[in-house]
Amino acid sequence: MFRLAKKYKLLILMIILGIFLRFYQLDKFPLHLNHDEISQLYDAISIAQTGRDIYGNFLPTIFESVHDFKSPFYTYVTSLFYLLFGGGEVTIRLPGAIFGSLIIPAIFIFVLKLLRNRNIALASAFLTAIAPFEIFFSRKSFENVAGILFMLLGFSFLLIFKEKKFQNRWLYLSAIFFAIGMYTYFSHAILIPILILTFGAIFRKSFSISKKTVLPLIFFILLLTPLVFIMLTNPGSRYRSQTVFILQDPVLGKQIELAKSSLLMPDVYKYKTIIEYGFARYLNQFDPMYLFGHGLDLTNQGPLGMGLLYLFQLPLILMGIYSLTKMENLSNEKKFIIAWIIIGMIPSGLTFEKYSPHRSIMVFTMLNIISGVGLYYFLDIFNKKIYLIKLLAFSILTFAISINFIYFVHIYTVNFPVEKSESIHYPFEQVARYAWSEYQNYDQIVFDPLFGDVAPVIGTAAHYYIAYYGNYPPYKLQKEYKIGEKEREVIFDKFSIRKVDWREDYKLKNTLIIASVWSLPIDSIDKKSIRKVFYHYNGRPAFYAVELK
Amino acid sequence: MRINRKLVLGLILFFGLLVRIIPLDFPNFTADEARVGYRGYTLATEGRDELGRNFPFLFNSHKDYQFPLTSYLTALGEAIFGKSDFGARLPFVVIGVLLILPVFKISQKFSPNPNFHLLNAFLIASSPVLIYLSKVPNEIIVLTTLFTVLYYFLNRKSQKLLVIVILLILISLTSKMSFFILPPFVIYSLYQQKKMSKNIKKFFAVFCISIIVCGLVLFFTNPQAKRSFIENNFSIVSDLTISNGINTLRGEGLQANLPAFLERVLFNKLHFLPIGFLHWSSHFNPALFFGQLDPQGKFNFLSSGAFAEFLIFPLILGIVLSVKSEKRILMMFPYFLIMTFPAFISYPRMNLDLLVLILPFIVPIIALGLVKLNKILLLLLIFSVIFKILITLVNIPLEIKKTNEVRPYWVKELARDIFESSKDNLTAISDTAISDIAPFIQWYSPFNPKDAFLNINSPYKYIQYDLGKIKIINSETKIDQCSGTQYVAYLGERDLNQIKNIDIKTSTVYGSGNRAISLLQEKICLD
Repeated sequence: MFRLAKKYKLLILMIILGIFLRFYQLDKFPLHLNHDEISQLYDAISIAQTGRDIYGNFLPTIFESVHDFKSPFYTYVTSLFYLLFGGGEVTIRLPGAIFGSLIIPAIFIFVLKLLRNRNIALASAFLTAIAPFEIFFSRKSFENVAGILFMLLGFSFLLIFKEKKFQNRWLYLSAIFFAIGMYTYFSHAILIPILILTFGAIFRKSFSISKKTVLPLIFFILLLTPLVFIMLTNPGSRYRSQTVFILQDPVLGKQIELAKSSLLMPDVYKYKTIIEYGFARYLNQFDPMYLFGHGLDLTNQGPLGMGLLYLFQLPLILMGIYSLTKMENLSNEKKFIIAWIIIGMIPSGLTFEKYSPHRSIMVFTMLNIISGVGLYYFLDIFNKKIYLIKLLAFSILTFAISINFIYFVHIYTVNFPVEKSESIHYPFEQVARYAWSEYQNYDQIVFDPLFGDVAPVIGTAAHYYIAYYGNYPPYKLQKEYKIGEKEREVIFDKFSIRKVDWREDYKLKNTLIIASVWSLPIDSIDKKSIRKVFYHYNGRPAFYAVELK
Repeated sequence: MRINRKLVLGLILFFGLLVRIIPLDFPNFTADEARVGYRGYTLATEGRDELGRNFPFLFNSHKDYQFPLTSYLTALGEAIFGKSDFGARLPFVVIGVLLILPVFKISQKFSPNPNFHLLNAFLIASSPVLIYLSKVPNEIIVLTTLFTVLYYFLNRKSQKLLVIVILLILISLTSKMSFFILPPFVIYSLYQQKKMSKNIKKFFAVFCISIIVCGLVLFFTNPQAKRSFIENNFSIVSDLTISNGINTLRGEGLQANLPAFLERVLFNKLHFLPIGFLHWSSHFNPALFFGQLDPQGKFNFLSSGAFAEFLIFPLILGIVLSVKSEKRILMMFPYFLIMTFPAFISYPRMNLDLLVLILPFIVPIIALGLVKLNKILLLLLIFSVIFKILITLVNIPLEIKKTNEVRPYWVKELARDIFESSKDNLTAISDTAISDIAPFIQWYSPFNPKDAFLNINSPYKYIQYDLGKIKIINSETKIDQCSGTQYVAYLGERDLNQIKNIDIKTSTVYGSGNRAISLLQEKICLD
């Protein structure tokens, strides 16, 4: 055991560093549970207590959640954590942080098996431990991180299977992890099979279909049968795919309209427009400004933000590409790396958002690995130089890593909460707690979750915030939850979550209305009736609690 | 099968010419292109620019000064073919087609394979952006061709001294941007050149730097030169987003009670460096080359990159091969950095013109990937590239609609009607439809240049509001109904709002949406 620890002490140190960066003050950063986190947490509690989600669906295969139809994996895992650790806020973040920490050794194993170089594997593991996107997504309870972990493990076992002269147990392990990976996130259900087929095509000479391999294959197919059934039959899955598809992009919509008005072959030009637009969007995901400049979207200061990868990794990636290209062996492995990147970016290219980093994490993971290759060769080159040059090179590298890391920590812990308090739905928790504190004093509490610092946005998970922070029993919510008659109205208990129309609502009696300036003519409301103001983290007012006697 | 190289090259040149010349009146001009077209006419006929200055060195434009070469080339075309689309566009069509030849010649340096040479020529002939820019008066296509020819001559033996000298001068006359690129370009090319003697290399390097210094001295004699440099070439320094961002992020740290020293270390003016660097590296975004180069349609067909989408695969293959074994092609990579370097200091504008400059230097890499493909795949790719261009060119009305924002097609009719109206009446037109409408009126109608000549020596970003009997209404102009000097009025939404209380009906409507212009049925007064 001691010998093993000694052999892997660097890796262990990296894992410890990674664990620290993912778990330290997990309850405080991010500052506030966002709508994805709160809805998954409360649904997880609901599942653990009643076996149903808040809408009363028994063990759902897709969670309706805030009408965004979430894949089920993360919620079920969280419900297990709820049973172990209770329903504290941190419960929702624990699985993400654990999966995010496990990625570090997983990367080590994957790189070790793929590139067969321990030092490159260590360099990649180190960069994974400190990577901004890894830390960011691991701390915000995001299922894709788990998906990547299982994908890495699946391919690692596939590579071990190839290396160990086809011992079948590795293939079974691989099948299990691939299958779990496919259940974690919708896009993985498509990407993993494509990647497996690509892997098979690239390494076709190393594999052969035999009786030995057919059984694990059947086992894999059996594992996936429920998933295929869910995807084909559950309307939620189709709804989700449609709502995020690139055709929802308004700019593309305009271009399609123009193409359709064409006198010449309108259908041909329509599809030509879609294909060209989608391809341009796909390629745009490789914009260095996005990858290394502001891709994590942690600030509102244009180019001053945080990339998905550190800026110091840009030269390392170029060096990594150069080194990989120069390597005489590993031609199949290099092809697989390219295929991974090409395939991994497809979901981002097909969706309506200009950039969707959460859909391309597997690509950033691979870019991290390539920068690991670059780091290894950088160290290798300067290791052979005279002492002074070596010292200078190491000092520059250490300085670059340190300053990039400190900058990220600053942006993430200090600037992000202020700049993006709206996107983490601050101060919905305070609103929910206040509403419960005033519960006894009013006949009805109306909450309009339309808010926003610059432009109005609807906080779709308002009912989850109120139920969670009021410790409202899920079985009761399932029973009481109903859609009201007013615009976007959800009703349970004394709460009505809906659009506030002040022209009508000012007539209400013994009611507490909580709404923002987007719904309330705050200047013309009697100041005495404003019971409380809730502020964004940047200090600007977000909501007002107005009492109607 | 042995291919007849000359015949295929001839076919490629013919194809290049064909796609550049048909249809000749596409794309419609932007305001700046219309200005260059009109200026070419006034230079050719009056010996003056559109503002009435005798053969000036620096010309006015909406954004920055324009250097002389492009305008005088247009003048040459119009001196021969008159004030017409053909006259204004032809010099650039010729230059665009000529670009194929030096690229073809340069490719011979990299490989003896004739297919490789022909593929280089084909890729230039079929590049959407090079086709597009060959169809309008602009300096980019001229500069691209000049740099490519310069590269060709710098890589030959030294007997072409005179040609190189002339080329250097021409390049420096093309744009301010060339001042930044020319010295490192020449020095790096000389560094690569093994056949030339060291003394000649030194001579060229010194000569090139001298030309740039002379050009800069000449440029800075202009009173607005410093402003033009800061605003257009060092905009990273004047851009407020960065300065404000630094202050905001630092302020947030201070509010969180973090040490002022730490905040100063993390958020300071040094941020200009990484941002400049990232902005520069953003110019290598593959989407620009193979996806969409220009979302507005000013530089390129709206839905096209610099090359057809499918060519990204041979590019990747070409990069791999050049890193592995083709050192001569690998040596082209520094050119990308040299020629796009001005992007480092010109945040936040994307310098798409710089990207066009490097296309002839990317082409050998793509061609390297292409020649390694099997023949069927190669033919399929070539066919796809041709098919994509043809399918785009076949439906020009759609392209015109797509680029209507920057290249308005309806403005031709408006310009002619305004001119006709101004023959008998004073006429006024809102600047809401197009912020710089004067060049369109001057270009698309038989406007008399003398009616708009001014007494202005150093115009910078000057917009004409007074064209003799035609006045252009800006946001400060007051409009009313009166009995004084009356104008036939073509008004946009903003100015129609001024007279909404007066009962005046409108007749013809030009354009659509919030840029529509309506002709009033009664005359109005301007204040």
